[in-house]
Amino acid sequence: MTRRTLAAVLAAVPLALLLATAPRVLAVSFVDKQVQAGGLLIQNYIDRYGQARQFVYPPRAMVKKGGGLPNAKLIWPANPWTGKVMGPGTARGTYTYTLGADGRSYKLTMHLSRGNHVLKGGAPQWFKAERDTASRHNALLLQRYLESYRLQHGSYPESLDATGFPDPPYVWPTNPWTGGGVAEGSGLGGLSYKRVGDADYTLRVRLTTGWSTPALKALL
Amino acid sequence: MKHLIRPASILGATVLAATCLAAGAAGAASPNAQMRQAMLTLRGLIDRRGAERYFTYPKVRTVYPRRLVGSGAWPDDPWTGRDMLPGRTRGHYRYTVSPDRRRYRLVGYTDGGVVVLSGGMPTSIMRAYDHRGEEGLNLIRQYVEDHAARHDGLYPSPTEVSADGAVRLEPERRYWPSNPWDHRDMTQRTDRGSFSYTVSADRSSYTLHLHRALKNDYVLRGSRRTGVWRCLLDTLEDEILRRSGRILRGYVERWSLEHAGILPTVAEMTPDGAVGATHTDWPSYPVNDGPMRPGTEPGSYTYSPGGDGSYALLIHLHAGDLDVGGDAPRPVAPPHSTGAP
Repeated sequence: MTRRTLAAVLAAVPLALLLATAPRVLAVSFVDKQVQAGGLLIQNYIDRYGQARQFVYPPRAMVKKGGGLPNAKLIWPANPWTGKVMGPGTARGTYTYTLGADGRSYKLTMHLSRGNHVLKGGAPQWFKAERDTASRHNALLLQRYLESYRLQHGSYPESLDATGFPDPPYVWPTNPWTGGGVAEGSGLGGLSYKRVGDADYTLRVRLTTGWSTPALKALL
Repeated sequence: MKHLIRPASILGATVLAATCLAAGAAGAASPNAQMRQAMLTLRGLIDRRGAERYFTYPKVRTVYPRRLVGSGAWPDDPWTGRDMLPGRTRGHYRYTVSPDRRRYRLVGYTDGGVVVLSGGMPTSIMRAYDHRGEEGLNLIRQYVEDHAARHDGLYPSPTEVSADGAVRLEPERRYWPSNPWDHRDMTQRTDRGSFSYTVSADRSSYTLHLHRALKNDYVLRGSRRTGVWRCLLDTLEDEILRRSGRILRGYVERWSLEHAGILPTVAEMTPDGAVGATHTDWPSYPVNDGPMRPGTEPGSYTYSPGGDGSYALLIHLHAGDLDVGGDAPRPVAPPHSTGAP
């Protein structure tokens, strides 16, 4: 083998190797697809956290390796451009996580080699309607309790809370948004109760669309 | 020639190093680790679809590339680089779902092992559904009691306790609670979120059962003694007793007027005593229609004359005692003669 041949071989072998691996290493779509797959994995952790908490999603500080997302300790995606753990940032192979103002929606932006891949999540469409239905149930149930109260006491109570209804021991409704007993207040699922003289009242419940209308009134 | 070999070697080494670096960055995880990651990703897609469908998870045939709605990206089989498919060999997965489609199991096949994942409706949602069912059952209970109040205290028959039954439709159509599990009217069935209603043969008592997901049945019982119907009757009886108390007070005061300001004794102030003998219309106890008598139970009274013309007359109501006593009026004495002609 002449020296010329040797030099040609030495140069050609790495070049051939480079060309052989080029579709896998250099093709932007392949590495970006790994970034997208990593995003789906992180989204899986975010979604599982939210679904276990009535669709309240994790704060930004949690969305990273070791941030406390349940089940995320063992497998966390790597940034295929650096080989290191995928983390928040703006460079390729990183991500930006933003949480909605009410904590019930989020946006996970995966930064690709060129452009972004956006993953979104939030409480499903049915969720608000479901909660509003539960809130209406509560108001109707309390309307019945108020009638029982009047039968027992001759008039409606001044305020509406569980302490005023110890007997008979009916279940006190739960605010579907807070998980606690329903109470007067302007938050979602909260009540607005106003006694009107001895013989009437108005009762409304706060829905996602505003106060329920028309107000419930005395039945008797 | 030497000057050719050196640059060629440097170029070759540089390209090799770059290739190795890039390859290492791109393929740092082993195929088995990539498979685990792919399985978690697939679970995420299934979870998202389930959450969108009221936590009803997809059918087996739809967990497939391009069939699962909303899954634009699909995890790869790390050994082939293609979409991961169902199967029982390495790089494949097996998805099974419970008959009610509330839980699923996902098995991924790695090189020499398996990855098993499972999922289902979150407990917090089940708990919320159970509680909503309890609230719905309490509302139905209110309607049942209301129905009894309008039917002489007789509780409705089971067929009347339904979304299209008399309990809901009379006297006017009312809101009927929905079953959070199927989002339809609560119905008498045996599945979760449904209820059972039974009534005694004489229709004087009933039992309502809610079939819950996380706990045993939630049970509400009612009878004429404890129900709202009873409260209504007690209220009406108390109203009658209040009037009866005022009548008895009138008898005491009339006796005092007719007996020079002397109050009747306890024995005289009874339906069988001297006061009773002068009043044939002695007030009756509304339950048994017999005359009101001294005692301590609701419907009876306690009379205590004082020495100075005052007296206590306690009427025992269901809601406590009512004192209608006071100072008995004395007859007015005739004016004294002055002796003047």
